[in-house]
Amino acid sequence: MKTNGMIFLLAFVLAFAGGYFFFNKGKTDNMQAVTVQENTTSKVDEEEESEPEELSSAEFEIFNTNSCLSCHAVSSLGLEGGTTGPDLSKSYADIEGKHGVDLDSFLQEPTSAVMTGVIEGSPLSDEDRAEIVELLKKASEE
Amino acid sequence: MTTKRIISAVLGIIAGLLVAVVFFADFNKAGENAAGDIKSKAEKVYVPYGELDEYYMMSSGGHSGQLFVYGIPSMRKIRTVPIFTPDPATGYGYSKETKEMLGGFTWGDFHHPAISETAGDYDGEFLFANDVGNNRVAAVDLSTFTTVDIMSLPNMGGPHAGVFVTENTEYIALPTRFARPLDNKYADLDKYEEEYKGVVSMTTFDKETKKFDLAYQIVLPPWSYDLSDAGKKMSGDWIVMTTYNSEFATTNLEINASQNDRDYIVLVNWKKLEEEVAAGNYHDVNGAKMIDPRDHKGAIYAVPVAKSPHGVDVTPDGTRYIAAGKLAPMMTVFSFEQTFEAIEKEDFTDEKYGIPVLSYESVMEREVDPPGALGPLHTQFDDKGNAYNTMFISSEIVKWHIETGEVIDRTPSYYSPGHSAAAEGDTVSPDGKWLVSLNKISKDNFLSVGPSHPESMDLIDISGEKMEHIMAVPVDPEPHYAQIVHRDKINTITVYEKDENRENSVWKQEDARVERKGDEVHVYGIAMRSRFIFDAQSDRPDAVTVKEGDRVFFHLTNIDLDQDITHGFGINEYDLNFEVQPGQTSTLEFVADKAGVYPIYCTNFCSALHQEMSGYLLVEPK
Repeated sequence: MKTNGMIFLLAFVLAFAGGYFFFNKGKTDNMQAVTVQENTTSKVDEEEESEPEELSSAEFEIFNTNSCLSCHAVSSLGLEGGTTGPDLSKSYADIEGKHGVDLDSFLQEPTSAVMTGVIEGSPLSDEDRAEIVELLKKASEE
Repeated sequence: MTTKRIISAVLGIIAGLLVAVVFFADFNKAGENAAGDIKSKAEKVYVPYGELDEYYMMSSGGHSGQLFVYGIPSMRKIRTVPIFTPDPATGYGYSKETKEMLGGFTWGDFHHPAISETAGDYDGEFLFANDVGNNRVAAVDLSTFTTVDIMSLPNMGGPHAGVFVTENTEYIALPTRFARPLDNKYADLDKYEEEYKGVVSMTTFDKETKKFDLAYQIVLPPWSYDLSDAGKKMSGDWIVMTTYNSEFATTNLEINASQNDRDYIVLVNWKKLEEEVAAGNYHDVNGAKMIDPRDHKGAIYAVPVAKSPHGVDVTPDGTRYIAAGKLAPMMTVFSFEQTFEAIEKEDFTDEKYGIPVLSYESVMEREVDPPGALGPLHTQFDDKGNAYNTMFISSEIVKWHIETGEVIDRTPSYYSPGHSAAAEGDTVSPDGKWLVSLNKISKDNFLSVGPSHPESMDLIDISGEKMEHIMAVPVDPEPHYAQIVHRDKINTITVYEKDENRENSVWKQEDARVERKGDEVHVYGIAMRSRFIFDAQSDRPDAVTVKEGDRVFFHLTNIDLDQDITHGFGINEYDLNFEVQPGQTSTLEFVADKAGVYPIYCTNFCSALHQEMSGYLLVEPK
């Protein structure tokens, strides 16, 4: 009697497990497809995020350390950046007409409200300012 | 003993399977498939953030007078471009230049867009638009998506059958829908047959100066010219037009213009007429060079076609033209080769109003008559030799093979399609990916907004053997025709070029000034984040003082040479508003006929301090 019970139990477990694998096969395949999809998406995101850093060489590091690139791009130097502020490619040449002062003066005492706040919060050192002006001069000649 | 063990095992297996089935088996297989199906349709149109649609759809906006720009396959509306209608959102029709272009008209009825073509393929440079309402043709520059020229057409009665372009945009052609007496003359409707004329305007467009010219007009019998197309390749010298009202009805056209069993497709050789016009063979009528093609052998022929046809479309290879029946429930395929042969052999059955009529049997290749398909209106094409017809009355798209006439598939549309647009579907090389059915009726398919229901558009995947209906979207009144162009062909600019020699432009703060010339006041100003500078010398550079009755000109240059930084300019209570795009100079002209103080402000959100971008117009009383 006991043996019969064991046999019944064993057969039950086997059939139950077989049924589980049989009916779930399709679902598992779908799930794998979804997982692969997700991985691809996140990979693309990572690549996009890392792009600006790859582009900025040591020469242009100064734009990063002073957080210029969080608001500005300098596309003529191949520097991607934020989109809030204007692209600085032509800023050296255009700033005097637009803001009434040259770039060096503007970076010491900006004539626009937003940049006044930015510079007051974290003034540029004389060395950094000189280097930025020089690089943006180069950018406007590109 | 053994039997009992076997029975136990069998029972165990049965019970195990039974429980497994109860727990794991999915009895909603059918339901899940349907859900899976919907998901795959959703995936087809989902364009993730950071990616762009593959195609632009340029859709006419009918009596809104506007162009609607959609992304395909997402069906997201990207832009409304005003063409014949003022638009405060872009300042179109308010600035001096655009106001002059609109010429005092406040609306237009834009039916058929035509993207400029090179060798029969879209080149993506310009888009042309017809105005059935007020007899005009317009050009939209696709580098800026702005209207750059509008020309009025004399002697016309609603250029419905245009615009279409010849294969290298030599001409932008517009045949008239209603016949009228020429030269704005008066003639009683009883004189319809003698005094009223059908006219085709053949216009040219200079891509450099961005200006239209009316090259010549073709005078024809007073039939109604409904739709038309230009030949391609072997048929490149020809245009084909459908007609109705060969009955010359002058009232109750619904009945009276639908009497004859046959109307005509008119074939005109534009190359031939071009030569004749160049040789001086025309009459000046109301400022247009009018040529009568019946005076020139080989310039015009007619082909009988089943009653009141609507669309006529030339196949991508240029070897055939297909008429859609409207009142005759079939598509008729005509062969250009047979047509040219019949012309050569002078195989004419008749002459109608001086036009030789070709033998139908000689030029007709096949009649395609899908059972129960009613109201065929227009034909589009794919890259596999198939044609797609909209069926207005039976609300469906019919796919059939041009060479064999075999009907391959039919799919419903929701409801009553006029035109459809396939991806590059009217060029020499259709893409065969998507088709959008432009429907006139949506019934209750969308949330109700009252008695005026939106029109609707169905997106259909035509990449497979069977068509697949993907989605339906509502749309403002009223797309008639659209063209779907690959995004690689459209090259837009983001900033207008800084041109220091441009008339009225100001690029430096110190140059901003106000100049008085008699009772004209010219303000040469700057818009930049986030201020106006009208007068650099003033203590208040953003205030302008004029006298009541002065004619005031605000010449405004946006010196933010930066992507997406548009400035607006509105004058409080003066009913005035316009925009300047980055690097653009534009002028607002008006008479300061109300004394008082009127705030000026930037109307297009430009920066965190947009709200502060303001000034005053002070109008001193007389």
